[in-house]
Amino acid sequence: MKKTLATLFCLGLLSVSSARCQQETAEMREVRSAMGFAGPVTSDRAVEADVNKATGEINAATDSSNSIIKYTRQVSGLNRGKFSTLTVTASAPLDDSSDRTELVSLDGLTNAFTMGVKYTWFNLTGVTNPLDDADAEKKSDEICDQLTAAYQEKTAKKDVPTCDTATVQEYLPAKYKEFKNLFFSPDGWTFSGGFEPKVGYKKFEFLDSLNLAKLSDAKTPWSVQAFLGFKPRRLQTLITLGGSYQKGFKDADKGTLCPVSSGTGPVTCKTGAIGRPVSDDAELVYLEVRHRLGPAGASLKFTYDFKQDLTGVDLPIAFVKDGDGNLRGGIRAGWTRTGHWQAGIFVGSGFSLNP
Amino acid sequence: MPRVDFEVKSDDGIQAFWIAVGKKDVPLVNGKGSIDLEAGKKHTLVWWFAGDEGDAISITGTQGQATVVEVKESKIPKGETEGAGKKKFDL
Repeated sequence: MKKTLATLFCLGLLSVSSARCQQETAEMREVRSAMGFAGPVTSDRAVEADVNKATGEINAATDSSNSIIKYTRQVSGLNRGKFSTLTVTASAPLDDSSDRTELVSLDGLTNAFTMGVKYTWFNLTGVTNPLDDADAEKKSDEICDQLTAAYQEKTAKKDVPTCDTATVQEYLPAKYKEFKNLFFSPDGWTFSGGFEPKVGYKKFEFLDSLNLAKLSDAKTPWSVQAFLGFKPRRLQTLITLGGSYQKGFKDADKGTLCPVSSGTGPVTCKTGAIGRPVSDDAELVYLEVRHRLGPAGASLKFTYDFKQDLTGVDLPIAFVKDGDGNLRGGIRAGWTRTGHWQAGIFVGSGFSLNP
Repeated sequence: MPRVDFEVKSDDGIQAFWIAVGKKDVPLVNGKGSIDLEAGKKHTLVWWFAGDEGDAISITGTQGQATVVEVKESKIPKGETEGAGKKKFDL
């Protein structure tokens, strides 16, 4: 955890202070490597509070690749069904050569080092106590007794299993929905909402059109995002509607410049962006539908940029599981209205029905 | 009435958890909370939690140095983002 936080801190500091953030340090390489091979960062995660989560993720695609580190902490949750979380995210590009219009997310900050803080509140409706109702209490007792019998029969053990939803799902699946409904009303929803400011750092190199000198300029793109999520308990589906404003930058138009010939000899021309980076702001709205379907999970996300009339579609499908059976990786395909198709893989934080 | 102290520990993927004894919610701060319960009676611990599938919590209830109820592991079921359970105990 210390290593992860140190790298987050380093990324954050470097992203606002120095061109050195474009250079990958040994520490960054180590964390990036750990994310790639081990999925979620697992070392010493439990800190002083109980609800913390550090995960890493790598996205590798044909037009854009980046690595992401996330650290989540619950910030409140005293009332049953209501809580909020705070997630700190650091993202580093592995390949920043693509233009925003070629990215299925239309996210202009994907190609920059970024640091973001996401606040999300949750409201789970219909969280009920079966002991509040005599019939529900009796029913829960009956199912717990049946679970014990089924568990002892299947395992040939004599101990009494934990009477919870996971154990009922495993050993008494026919009663699972009925048991779960005693604690969570089937008509309930999970509502969520939040916002996420992000700041980034990106260094641009360009040619000076007057003397052909190769110059560089550092920019600090930023964005603010807000979103609302809806998850009906009857369906394993999360619907998220969001929008963001981005203050971004991109390379000036590329070209080849040649010096004026001073004689009969050959001249050396240079190719690259000509002139300083230009603004590339975006006003994005998106609609995302995530659905869990048996052993796999898929997400379909439509993004539209009002500023430049762009559309992007992203379809990640998670099917690779870790040792605990959780979805941690998969493939993704995407398309933009500019005619770019994208394919790639992702591994790390994986599929979740939480926004 | 004797006081029972509860402590909930959770995996990293757990976002929130709540517990009750009988019909009374036990307010938790940083995973710890207490409640006064009637002695010589059977009680029922109820818990709910939210997060990602496969992540787990554990609950321990102690009276002084004695453990009166323990849930060693309760996981979020496959394909779900929430879990719950109950356990009876004597005091």
